[in-house]
Amino acid sequence: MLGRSLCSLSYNLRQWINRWSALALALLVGYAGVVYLAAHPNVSEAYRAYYIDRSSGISPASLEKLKDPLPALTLERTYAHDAPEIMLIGWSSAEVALTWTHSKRAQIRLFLPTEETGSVRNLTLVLQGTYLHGQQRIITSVGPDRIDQTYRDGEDIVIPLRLAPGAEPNVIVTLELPDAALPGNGDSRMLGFALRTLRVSQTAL
Amino acid sequence: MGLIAFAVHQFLHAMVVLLHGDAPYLFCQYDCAWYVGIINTGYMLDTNVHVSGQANWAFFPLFPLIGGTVEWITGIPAQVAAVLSAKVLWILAIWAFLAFQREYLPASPLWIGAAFLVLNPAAIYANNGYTEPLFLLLSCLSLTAMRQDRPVMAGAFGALLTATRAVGVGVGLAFAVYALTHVIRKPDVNAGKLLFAGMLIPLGLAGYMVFLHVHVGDALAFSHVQRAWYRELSSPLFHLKSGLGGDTYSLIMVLTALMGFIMVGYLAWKGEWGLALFLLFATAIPLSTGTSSMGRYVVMQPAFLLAVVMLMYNHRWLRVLLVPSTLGYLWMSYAWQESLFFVI
Repeated sequence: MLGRSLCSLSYNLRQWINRWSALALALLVGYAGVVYLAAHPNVSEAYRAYYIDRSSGISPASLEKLKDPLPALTLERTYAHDAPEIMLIGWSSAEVALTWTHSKRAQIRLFLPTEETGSVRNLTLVLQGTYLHGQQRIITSVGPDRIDQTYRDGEDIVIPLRLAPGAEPNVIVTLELPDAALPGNGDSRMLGFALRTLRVSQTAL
Repeated sequence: MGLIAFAVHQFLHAMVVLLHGDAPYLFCQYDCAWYVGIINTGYMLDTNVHVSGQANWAFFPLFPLIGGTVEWITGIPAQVAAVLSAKVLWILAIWAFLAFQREYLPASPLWIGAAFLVLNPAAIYANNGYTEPLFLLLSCLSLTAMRQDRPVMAGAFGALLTATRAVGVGVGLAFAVYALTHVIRKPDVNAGKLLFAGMLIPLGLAGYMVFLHVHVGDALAFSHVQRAWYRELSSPLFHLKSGLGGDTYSLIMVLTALMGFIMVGYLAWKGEWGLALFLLFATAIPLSTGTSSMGRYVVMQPAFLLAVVMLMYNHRWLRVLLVPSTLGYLWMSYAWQESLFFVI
């Protein structure tokens, strides 16, 4: 009786351990290797912070671009939202005619034209675009200067820029959008303002 | 039957395009544009992604490989190659779905399956360079092979399925049910062969993960990059609740997901546990990152389509639903030509 049981067990084991099982084991070892790779990414700190840990809100590509020198703007010229002279940080991908902000905070980095005048230069930055639901409250700030205003469609965002002699012409404009919201059409972005064009002019005295 | 269904599907789409007038017949946008990017320039390095953080790692390689091969052989532009590849795969997918229906529901007339497959709102995604036809084709082939007791073939198609979309791994659940049933019912079954066949299924995903590790340094880049599309992993119940209180689009997506869960229950009740688990996986996993695009994720699943065919076969009056379903397809065709956001 015991012998027959052992024979049966042995037969069953042989059925299980055959060349198919060996191939399955080889695959299993391979998958263990893949799991090991997945648990040990070989990436930059910026990549890890943005994609894996989610401790940073700025993508590695944005961080890299911050290091790049920007071409200087030309006064009185209108630039499209996706012009290479403008760096948008914290905005969505550019669409054909505009680029939307996608959270409650967005930034624009510009390189103003340098000119040795020996005195403070007063410039005006004009952002032209569209507002979610036709109007948005936007707080703009450049350094310590802040403007808190509600803008309506057809109304441009006008920001005064003061450039002291010898000052760094690299300017970062911050837009805070406290009323940014889901547009209600399935788009999962918190939209607020869509930039179409940008222009820097000499402020009229 | 399959060719007739394909012809009807294409004729209706062509009519909408003709009446619309502006956008071309072979219109590639949204995900299709991402696949075209892969065909043209390959997968991005982590140093050349868009400043928004979005990168094409989220898009699995089998479909762009097919589209890229068509482009390479014919010399046609990548956009046209992607759309044409999807249409050819769609003909094969219709044929594969009918073969799948014949295996799982042999008594039901094939015209019901053919009609619902090509005349539902999500059938628009067969026309525009998306992965839906390839996913449907491979999942039907894998499930059919299981029913025909050809485990290695089922596993091999499963491997291709996981190289098409991450959720393809779910077919492993259907395979597990198939394998367990065999082990329990047939004592002389070749368990090693079943084990090997099942282990084949994640091979496509594993291959893509190794590629991503070598290329980007992160084997899970396809998942991590979802962050740039604002997809946050959470409970499916949370997203269901949020969607119910949200806008019209979210509500429709939530209702589609709920329909998916109802079909899971129906399939389980009918004893099709493998299909039920596959559909549960394919519905719950995308839902856990949000309600976006749930329509195509749920409806273009073979298990969902078969459950609807079962219902229409068992309850004749339900066949009247083919009318609103066809109107939904026409509406989606129009929306695609209009580039309305919800078709994404």
